[in-house]
Amino acid sequence: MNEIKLTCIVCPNGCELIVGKKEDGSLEVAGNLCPKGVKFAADELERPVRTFTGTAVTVFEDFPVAPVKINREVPREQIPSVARYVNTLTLTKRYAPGDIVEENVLGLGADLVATADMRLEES
Amino acid sequence: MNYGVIVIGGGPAGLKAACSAAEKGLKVLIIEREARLGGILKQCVHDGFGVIRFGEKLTGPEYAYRDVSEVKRLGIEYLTGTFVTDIYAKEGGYVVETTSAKGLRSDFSEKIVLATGCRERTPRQVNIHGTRPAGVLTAGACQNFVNLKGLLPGKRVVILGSGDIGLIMARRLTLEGAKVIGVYEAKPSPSGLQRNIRQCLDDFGIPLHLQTTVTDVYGQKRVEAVRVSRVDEAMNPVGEGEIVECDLLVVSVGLIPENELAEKLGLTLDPATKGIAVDQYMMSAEKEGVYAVGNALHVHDLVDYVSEGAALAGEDAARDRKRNPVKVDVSGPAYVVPQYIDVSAIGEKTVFYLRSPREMARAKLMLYADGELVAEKRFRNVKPPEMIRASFKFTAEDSVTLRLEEDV
Amino acid sequence: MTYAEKVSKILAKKGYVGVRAEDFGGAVRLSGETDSWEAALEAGRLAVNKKRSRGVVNDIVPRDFIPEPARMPGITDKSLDGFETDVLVIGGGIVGAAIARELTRYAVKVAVVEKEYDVATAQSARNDGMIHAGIDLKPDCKKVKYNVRGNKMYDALSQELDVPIERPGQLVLYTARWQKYLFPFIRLRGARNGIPVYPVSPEGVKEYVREPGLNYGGFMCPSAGVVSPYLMTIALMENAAHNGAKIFVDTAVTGMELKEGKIVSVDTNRGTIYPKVVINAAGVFSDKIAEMAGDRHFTIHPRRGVEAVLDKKAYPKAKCVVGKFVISGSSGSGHTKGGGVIVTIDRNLLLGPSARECAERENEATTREELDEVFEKQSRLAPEVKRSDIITYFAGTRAATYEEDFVVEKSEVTSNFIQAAGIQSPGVTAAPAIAEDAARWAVREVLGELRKNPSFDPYRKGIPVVREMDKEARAKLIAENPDFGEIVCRCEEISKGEIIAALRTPLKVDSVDAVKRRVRAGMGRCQGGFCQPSVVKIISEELGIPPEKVGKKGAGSEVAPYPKKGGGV
Repeated sequence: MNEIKLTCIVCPNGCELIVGKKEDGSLEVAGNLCPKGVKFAADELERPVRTFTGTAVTVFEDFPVAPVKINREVPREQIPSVARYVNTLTLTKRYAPGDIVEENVLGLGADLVATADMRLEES
Repeated sequence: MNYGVIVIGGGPAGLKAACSAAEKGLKVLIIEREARLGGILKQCVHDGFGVIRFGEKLTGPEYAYRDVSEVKRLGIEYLTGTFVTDIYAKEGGYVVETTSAKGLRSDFSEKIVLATGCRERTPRQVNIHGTRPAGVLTAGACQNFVNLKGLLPGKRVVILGSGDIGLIMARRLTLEGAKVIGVYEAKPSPSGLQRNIRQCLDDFGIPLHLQTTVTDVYGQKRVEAVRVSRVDEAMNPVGEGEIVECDLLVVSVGLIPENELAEKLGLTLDPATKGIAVDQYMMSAEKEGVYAVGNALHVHDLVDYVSEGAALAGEDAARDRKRNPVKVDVSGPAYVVPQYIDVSAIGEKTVFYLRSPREMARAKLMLYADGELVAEKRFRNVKPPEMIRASFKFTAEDSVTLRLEEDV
Repeated sequence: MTYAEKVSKILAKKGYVGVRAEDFGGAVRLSGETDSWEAALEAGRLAVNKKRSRGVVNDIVPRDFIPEPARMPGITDKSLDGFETDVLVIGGGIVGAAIARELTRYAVKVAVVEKEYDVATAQSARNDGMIHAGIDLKPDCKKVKYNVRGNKMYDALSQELDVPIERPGQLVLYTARWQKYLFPFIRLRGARNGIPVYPVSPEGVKEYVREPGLNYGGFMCPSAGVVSPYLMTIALMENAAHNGAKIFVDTAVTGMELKEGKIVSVDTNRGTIYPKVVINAAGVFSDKIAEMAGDRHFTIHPRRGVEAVLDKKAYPKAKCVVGKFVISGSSGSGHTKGGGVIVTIDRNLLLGPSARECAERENEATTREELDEVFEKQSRLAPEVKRSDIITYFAGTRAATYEEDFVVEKSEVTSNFIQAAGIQSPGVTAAPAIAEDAARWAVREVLGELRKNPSFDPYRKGIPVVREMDKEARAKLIAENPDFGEIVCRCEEISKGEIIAALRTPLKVDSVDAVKRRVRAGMGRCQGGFCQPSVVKIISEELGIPPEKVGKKGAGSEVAPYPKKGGGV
């Protein structure tokens, strides 16, 4: 049985996982503090997924760029394409956190979401 | 104006302390030097915040938004673009003098919460020599340029220091189209969280060079190259090193709590934390009514614990207690916060935040009250960069001892 | 035997086989080759004799060193082609600035050329800002003459130009008990040069140094003061500009045309200028300018100095300038005006400077070794100062001649050429006095008399410093201009208003470091980590240039050169 070492990135605990593949193909995961570690290990070996966070340029002087993220993890190898795509956008609306900027980015099934409160404060 | 408590700093620590105090009925004023509330979280566009506090992975701006919304919901008064110029004690409270575009202002409060955050160690504080061209930035300044100003400071990047901000910036700069040549770390082990090494470096094939540091910068107008050298155990460079061509050096070599206001109040700093010494409610052991929270108190690696500590301070600000602070006798940890326990006001739970001076596969934390062992906790994979949090239910009368040991 | 022959003999005896000495218009010129740069330097030193020769022109080519060309401005155009002026000052350091301002007192047209992006970027920014008493200088040299005169001029300059100075005094500590018996001689020497001194007992020392590491008493030179050398240079230049002088930065002199012992024109990267008189205030390049003007009788051999800047929190550890008593030997090696611990006008302590001969004229890179040396050297003076107090460090090169004295003269060879060359420490102190002489020589050459400029205004108003204002004045200022209420540099408490004011001064500047020298934004303990992005933004907004074009120090030094989106990705 071959063992693979992984660092779980689901939460800040960063558990050091030791993953073994049994003969029937199922996984044996050790070192995890919670069940999420098992799922992470399975994904990571099968098809690693990641989230994307970054910024998009805006038309607002007080907010030259605004932070955005995708609301669902996508295959890891798609992250650079998402980054490149987001860098072509220009936001023209003042979003609140959670507002969807664009649905189903690049057809990956995840939406691009604003994460900062860009709205002006009434004073 | 008169307030029950003035909170200096509108980052996550200050916001949470303010909300907790307001919920207990105190009249609160938050003073923030930047244009918007949220502190450094505004530029931390990556995620991973809030897993402990909210049970979900938030980005920095989202985490800040939750606290800012709460501040607004509670109707807490806040000043932005406002800088504290002086603070001093006066007749059972404190006077806080500020400047802003609106003019000078002087406010009074019974209690003060210092939530001023931290600053970054500079390249010169880690003995980097050579020229002083453009293109040498601390990780935080680099993050500000990229995430707030929308400017990329370089395209061929060397990162010194494997602290979390450095690692996060490695990924961030890569996704913005820069080539990160490598991350160099003088210590024998990384300073940042393991998961960040994995998702910020390994995912993008960025090499991490341990026991290697940047010694010199070359270039007149902009950085053209740096010299990197292996270091010995005393962290002194050995040999000639090698020249690495780059147009940006990002330095992520540690954070220092900002305590100039605490010093103005005459408070002494704990040499281990570089923050003031506090009791379990984050109140200064030296001066009644002064609290320190967040990275001004000690540098945290998770904002969730910043909020936790700040909540304790905010709630406590709303009550009066007769204090009997006892210094915690510490053996083992590099530092422990709180440094004191007010034995006359030990509550339902008492939380300690500490760091181990070295890596330990298994560690044992023992709490003694009045000389008796009252509790024991065990930890796995203890590392200096990862703060240990331990919560205890106990009482004590005149002594508290905390011991951290290798668990064999 | 001629002096050159004597030098040849000395050099031969010392084993310099490939080196020749010849008479060079009253100076002695060395040529040939040596194996090392150090040997060439030593040969130059051996050829010094102030009585028998005007100076040493050292043209020895060391086999181990290829000099780098001078840093040149990035711009080449014809914007100054055909420009005429009465007096052209070459060099925008404190000497050139003082001369330019002094010239504007008279009815002459003045222009200054400076090859860097701003004034005060080389020696004038890279020194400790001491207004020296001059007690350590040998009598009868130009240095002491100009130093003592210059020192006395600083109070008026400070008041006219709104540049603060202080006179905390210089405490010179004995390194052995017996040295106190030398005090009568020190007093006598002081009296000869007009420098007051008084003795300080070991008890008295403690009033100045909280925990002295060395305490056999010492003596105090109360006339020693401190000034921001770059702010003074900027102020002098601004006042010169206010009085009509034209200041051209990014302008380097590349050659001169001479006819019948006179300079006819001066070539620059921006075209040919036609001056009636040329003044050489070119610092480490002053021998190169002298050569172009046909009157080279000295050589600059750069000497580096490194200084460390401490956090303001360290200030109480030493409250005046503290140095060690050095029994002054002959000129030659070991040149620094003592150095030690210096209290700057901004209440930072400085440690240093070191002094090390250096082949490159513009090598401003620091090294670990030199910083260690600086730190070790002061540790006996104020051992309480810790390495962790250091917030930054810098290096500069001094324009030392082999004679180790200033060259301040009207040329005997080229009739319309004046030299203020080879100015090293105490150049800041001496500059105003040098300027008086140089300006008079120049004006007499142009006008034949010292005709005044009736509209000369000696006053300059500095940028308001909000952190030092009383509340009432500060509140009033903010009410007039809210930008003065908004703090940008948190370590030094510098407002947005001050930064904008720096961008609106008579010398147009557009760089982060130029702003820093004017208002100190970024000079504090975080070294610009927090404020640099904001300063870039303010410069961009105020001057209407895109933020990615804002430089740290002129064109080509953009801080964040890539607008993130749409472009490079």
